[in-house]
Amino acid sequence: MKRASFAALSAAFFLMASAGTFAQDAAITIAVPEEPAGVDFCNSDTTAPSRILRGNVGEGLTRRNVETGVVEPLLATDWRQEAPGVWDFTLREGVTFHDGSALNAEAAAKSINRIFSDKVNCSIRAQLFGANKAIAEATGPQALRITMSAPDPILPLRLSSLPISAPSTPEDGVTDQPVGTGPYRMASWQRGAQIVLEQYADYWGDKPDVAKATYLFRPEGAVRVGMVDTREADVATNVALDLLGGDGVLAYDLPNTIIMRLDMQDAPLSDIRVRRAIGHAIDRQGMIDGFLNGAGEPAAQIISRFVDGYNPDLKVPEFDPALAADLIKQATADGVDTKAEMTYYVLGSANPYNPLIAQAMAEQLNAIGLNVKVVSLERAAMGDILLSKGNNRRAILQYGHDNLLGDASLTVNAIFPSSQKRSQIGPEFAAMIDPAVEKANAAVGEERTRLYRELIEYWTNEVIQDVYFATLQGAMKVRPGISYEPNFQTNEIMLLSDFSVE
Amino acid sequence: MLRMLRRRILESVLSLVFLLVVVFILSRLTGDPSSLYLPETASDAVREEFARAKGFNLPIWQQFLTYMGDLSRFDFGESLRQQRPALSVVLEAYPATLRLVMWTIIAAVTTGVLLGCLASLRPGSLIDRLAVGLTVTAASIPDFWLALMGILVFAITLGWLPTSGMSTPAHWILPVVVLMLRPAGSIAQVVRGSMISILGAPFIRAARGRGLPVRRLVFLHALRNAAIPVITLVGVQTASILNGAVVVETIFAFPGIGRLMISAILDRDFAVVQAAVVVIALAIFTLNIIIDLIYGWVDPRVRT
Repeated sequence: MKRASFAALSAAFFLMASAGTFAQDAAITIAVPEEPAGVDFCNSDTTAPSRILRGNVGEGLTRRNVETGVVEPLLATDWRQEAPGVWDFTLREGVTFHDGSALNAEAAAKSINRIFSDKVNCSIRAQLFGANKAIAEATGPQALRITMSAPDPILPLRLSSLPISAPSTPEDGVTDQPVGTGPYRMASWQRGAQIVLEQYADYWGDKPDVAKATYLFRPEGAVRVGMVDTREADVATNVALDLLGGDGVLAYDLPNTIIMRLDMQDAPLSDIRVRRAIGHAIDRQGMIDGFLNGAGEPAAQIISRFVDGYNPDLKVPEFDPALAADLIKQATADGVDTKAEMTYYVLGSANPYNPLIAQAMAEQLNAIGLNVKVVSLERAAMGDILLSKGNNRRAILQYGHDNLLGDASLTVNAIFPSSQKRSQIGPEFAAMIDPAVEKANAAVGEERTRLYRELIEYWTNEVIQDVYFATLQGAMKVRPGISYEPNFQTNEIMLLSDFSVE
Repeated sequence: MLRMLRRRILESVLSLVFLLVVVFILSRLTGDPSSLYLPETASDAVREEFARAKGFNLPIWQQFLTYMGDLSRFDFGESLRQQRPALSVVLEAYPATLRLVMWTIIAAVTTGVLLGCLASLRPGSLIDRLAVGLTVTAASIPDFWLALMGILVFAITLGWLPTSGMSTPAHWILPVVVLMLRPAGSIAQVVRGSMISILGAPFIRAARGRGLPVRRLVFLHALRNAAIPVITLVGVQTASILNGAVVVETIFAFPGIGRLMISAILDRDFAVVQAAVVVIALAIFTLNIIIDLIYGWVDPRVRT
């Protein structure tokens, strides 16, 4: 009997040991491509600081559920719109910042008003609010009122991207010691080398597995991968798509669409048959398989399926070079100068596949009778062209568009209205587009979704300022023993609490 | 000697002023940086406000006068990207590059001189052919390929060295070796050529005839006379390494000034570009003056 008990105990011990236990208080090292330029929450709208800070060090009043897209409570437990542009939030009790101060309405109001201050140069202001302004005030110990200068029906969603900083945050400039309410506090930042986050002992929520995270900045992708192989790092982000299928390489969908913008002021792009022909001339799936290792899917519209306003009824134009060539012939027969030389601009340095895709696109367009040459640009020069009207330019621009907010308004307001520099439409389309954008912006709920879907359908099928190539996947590598499920937000919000370490 | 030094300093100051004007104008000609510092979804009104706040809407001559006025107070302006003084950003990055360049030059000179001396003793021998082979190979291999192969072999396959970073002496081995191979090869060739001609000179033949040991002959008498072209080469190579360390800094994640400058140019972070140019130019001018002083010490004819 004793022998049987001993055997059972041994077996149980062996099973426990071999089943793999997850370590509490584990430390992980993450190799990332880029060091943040700053770590103030009010400049956390770009990838490098966002990935480290958002959800780890700083938390917003709300959060967006990555599965459902629904806005859920975080530092605020509930909210309501009192009047157009006036929102009331109730803040969570028992939350403290990393410096020990309490989260209350005064603290939240100060944090929100700070990003609109002229003394602090906050990039998140333009990203989230555009020209709209907010005034936040405490109406009770945990009661916060935010009044917008123009009505904003999706303010709770916007606030999911705005981490709340402690009242001790300087009001006359940016800080390199951000203090938030998240599960981790920023322990150190050794410029040029690393940022270290450590678990915050008094965090109001569940205690995560990972006690300490060290972010190492390694610009070269092959080096990041090598660091996981040699165990210098546990995780390498943004690895090459060629590695997909390899050990420990995780793929995830990105909210990023590769677009070809057609500057349609001059011939031949001013002719809708030519613009439509371009959509049929390109073999999207062939290029995805050939250049992107299959890591993407053909795109039918400007936003990805993760964004409210995505129109599931839109179809990718069929790859039909014969139809495309016929459309070009019809345009030529009607006197359109289809042989006029066009320049295909591409951001050459962003990744290795961009120039390859551009070259393949140009060859396919030339094959249907157009005259396209490729010009590779660096980021700043590309930005200049992207943000300007294309009169007399005869240009096609290949660029990537993200919408991380999750609402079509972000994309539509920047690109569609005729007043925007990125919009290439003339009066014939402006008469329909401009009022439709205004109407959709003001709508809420299902009506909002419906109006944006209609607008995107009209933009895609009737205006055809853009031809869409693909939505992409990203890849990361983790060492054996690390558990993590990436999602479409992983590049921008990589929650340490989602990691388990064996 | 003092007159030469004064002339050198004056020439350096004039060159620096010329450089500042050229860099200022060229950087402004690249365009408005607002497209890089505002989200792609920012409205036109927000972009115009940004340009106004940073003074980019002013005519270029007015921007230049403001810049020179600030510079007279040692104010290099603020980094657009990092939102802190540009000079602090540059001075933070500079030590990493200086240390990298210093170790590279020490390693290159030591290897190059030793190899060159050994090759010159027996022209056409195995060591001589090795030295020539090293020079040609080092000059032909791109730095980035060598760096990645070094990581693949010594870090990932053999596990002897870390892949990247700079926190321990082991982290410095691969970057220094990658950077020093080309200058070491060039130095070896120049030392070899110079030594072969010096070793054939009458005063060396006379010393050899008096029974002076070969080691003393080579390293004490011949090498000092062969040093002049080597010093010139070391000066040129140092400036070239200082300017060209960017590839190695990027692959091995050294937060140095080369990497900083490239990203500042791409980011149109004008204040950082200008501050970096001034700091690098000052370093190169100082280096040239030091080389002139060493010349004077090695070759008394220069002093006059």
